[in-house]
Amino acid sequence: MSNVRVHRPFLSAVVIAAAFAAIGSLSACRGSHQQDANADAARSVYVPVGKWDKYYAFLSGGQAGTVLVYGIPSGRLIRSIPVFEPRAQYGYAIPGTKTYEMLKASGPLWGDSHHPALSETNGDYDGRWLYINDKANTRVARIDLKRFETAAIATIPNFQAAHGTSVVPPDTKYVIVNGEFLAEPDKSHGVDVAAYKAGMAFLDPITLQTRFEVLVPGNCDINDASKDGRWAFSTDYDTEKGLSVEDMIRNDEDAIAAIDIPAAEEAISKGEFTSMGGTKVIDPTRTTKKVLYMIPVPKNPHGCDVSPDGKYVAASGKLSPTVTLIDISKIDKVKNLRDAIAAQPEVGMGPLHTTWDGRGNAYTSLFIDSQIVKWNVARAVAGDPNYVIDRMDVHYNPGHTYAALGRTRHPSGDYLLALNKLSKDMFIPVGPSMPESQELIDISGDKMRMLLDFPAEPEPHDAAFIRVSDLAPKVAQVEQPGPDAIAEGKSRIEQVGPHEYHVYMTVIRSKFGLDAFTVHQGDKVTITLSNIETVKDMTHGFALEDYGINLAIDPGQTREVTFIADKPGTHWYYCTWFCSALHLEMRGRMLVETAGQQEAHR
Amino acid sequence: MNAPSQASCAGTVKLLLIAAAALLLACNFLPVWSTAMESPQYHGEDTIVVKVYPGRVEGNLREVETLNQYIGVKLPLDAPELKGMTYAMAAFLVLVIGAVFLPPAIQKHALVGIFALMTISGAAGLGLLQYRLYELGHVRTRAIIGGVANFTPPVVGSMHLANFHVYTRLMSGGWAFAAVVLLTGIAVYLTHHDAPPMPSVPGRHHAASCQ
Ligand SMILES: [Cu+2]
Repeated sequence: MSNVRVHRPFLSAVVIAAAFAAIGSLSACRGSHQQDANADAARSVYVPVGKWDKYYAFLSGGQAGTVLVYGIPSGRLIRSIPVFEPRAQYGYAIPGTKTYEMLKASGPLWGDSHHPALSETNGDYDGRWLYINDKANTRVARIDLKRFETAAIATIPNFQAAHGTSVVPPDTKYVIVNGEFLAEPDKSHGVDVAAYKAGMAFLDPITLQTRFEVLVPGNCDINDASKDGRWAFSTDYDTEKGLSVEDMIRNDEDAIAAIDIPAAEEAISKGEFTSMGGTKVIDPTRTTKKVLYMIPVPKNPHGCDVSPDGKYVAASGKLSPTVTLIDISKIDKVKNLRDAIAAQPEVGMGPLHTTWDGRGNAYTSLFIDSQIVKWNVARAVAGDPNYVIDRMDVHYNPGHTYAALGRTRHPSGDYLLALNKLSKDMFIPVGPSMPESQELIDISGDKMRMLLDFPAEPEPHDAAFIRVSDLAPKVAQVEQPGPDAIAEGKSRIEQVGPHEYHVYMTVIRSKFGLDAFTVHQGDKVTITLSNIETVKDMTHGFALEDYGINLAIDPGQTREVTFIADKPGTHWYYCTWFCSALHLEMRGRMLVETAGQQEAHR
Repeated sequence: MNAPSQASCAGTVKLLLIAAAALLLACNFLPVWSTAMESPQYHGEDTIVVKVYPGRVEGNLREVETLNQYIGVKLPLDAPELKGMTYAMAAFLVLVIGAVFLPPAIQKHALVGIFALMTISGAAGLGLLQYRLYELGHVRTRAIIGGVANFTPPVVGSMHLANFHVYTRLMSGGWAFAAVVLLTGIAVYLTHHDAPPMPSVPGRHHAASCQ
């Protein structure tokens, strides 16, 4: 017999301790799983120092009227391209410059950019242009991807609020831009509700001139075009032509508007149009050949996305928990357009946009559920109830979602970006206004995998990726000097009129071509600067004290500014881009003499 | 197979000289010497490369000049020997082609002279290059940054200069000229000596001589 007596209280203590230990080790285990997942995610997005990302991601800058350029998968902000707003940093749209004239001629010095669209050749991104809309002032701009600079801006006549923006595949025949708000055409400032119109504009991809427009009953929200270039599609959430929220949601059904592009072109060639606002406007009720098909979908749809195989256009339900898949090949064949609907899978609450991985799966952003849902297109069409494959929480309330190259014929199926409308508690608080949150998701496997979140200033709406290997080789870093470039040693000041001077200066480390020049108060002064550097990243600036002028001149480039020298005295100009060990010494003086000082000189 | 005759030996010399002439012609279009400057900011395709050709210097000279503000070296971009190289190449070309048509008795001596001239010129060229490199690092003007002592880059080799690794080497033009000298040397040898013994073929007699 043992002398040792095991006391009951002791036993229970042991049992309780063991239980705690077990729970502890379980949660430790869960913690280590989370750590492993974090480490995996970190590895997936880490781009080693000096290495490049796989994709350029162009995100619209929203209320800043810009386009933001991020690297994917790292989520590093690499550039913001000013488009509809002046940016002194890059000498963009500074009064007295060409870019200012371009922006000013097109409208206000502010814009609201939403939908970046990359130019295509053979249905794939060709890395030439990026188009971006300005919803607020009904404009669209073309960015030259060789320089990442705004090359052209145009106003779209007749409509109000340029919203959906896409290119017509396969070779960017047109840029299509939607007029979202109902208004009287031709900017006639009319208030005649009966005359209110909306529709889609077809723009020349280079000049951005509106070649023609097609009126759509109701309005035009988001657009896309079929892969063969036959159809332009737009969601129409206001077939009611309502002017208040209540009226806009009155009917249970709205539509996807499908415009037969060749039929529209035929109508133009037959003269079946009205000239309005400097362009040709087609009223689809008055053409001999049917131009417009209004396919009914549940009320107030939003996203409008053509699948990469070109078979379907998807209307994301917004107020309906469904995505309506329309069989594009049936549109002009069925008697009842409802028969063109291939499937209407229920995907969740608040579906806004749908994107594709090229493996037959669709990904829809669910604004209300705050999720991305992955579903299989073929299963949904076949009526298989198991079409939903995965769901992932995003933070919070996603608007657009974009799978890499999802708008081309060849999506790469590796990354998906959720562009979330609210970030709430995701980032360190910066006052009551918070940045927007983007989340990068790995979609290469069956299950989605959250990789990274990164903030953006308000507010990216949509994104477009292009492979770095496809674009980087086309980007200019040192330009060949143009015919207007000032040669080394040719810096000078010329009097070109009684009260007008032209200053020519070269810029190179660490000197402006002139240490000083003199003009007279009230003179019109033009300063032309040529950066004669031959190595990359050697941008110089030109800031002129008290004149509100800053230019940025990249290697090989020539920039110009014109102003009235109305402030007398000594005004230093200096280089604003830190360039060299003698950067601070890189400056000179503009001497503005008063009439009295001129007399004294005589 | 017949033993090499006097005619075929003279033919060999002719071929050698024609090859030398062709190489001399090529020399005018080939870089003779080059330097590459590498630093963290200038690497890969951004490495600053300067190539010396007969009569000219190529490369990103503007960048070299720009950086030179800090170091203030004497860049021998207008050194007379650059043009001199072109003239020398032209002169050698004329001499070598001329030698082809000389009667063997005179050719024999002319080739010695040409060979000597080439060897001396080549050596003088290398010496001059080394002198210019010394001058570059010692006769310095407008140096605006401290910390760079006087220096002499090697003709062939590498060194550290400010934030740069500087590599120097002979390029195709330099090697082509060396080949010209070698070919001329062989021609001299062939015109003065018995040809090197040929592999003996049993039962065959061969007299290998250019005489
Ligand atoms: Cu500078």
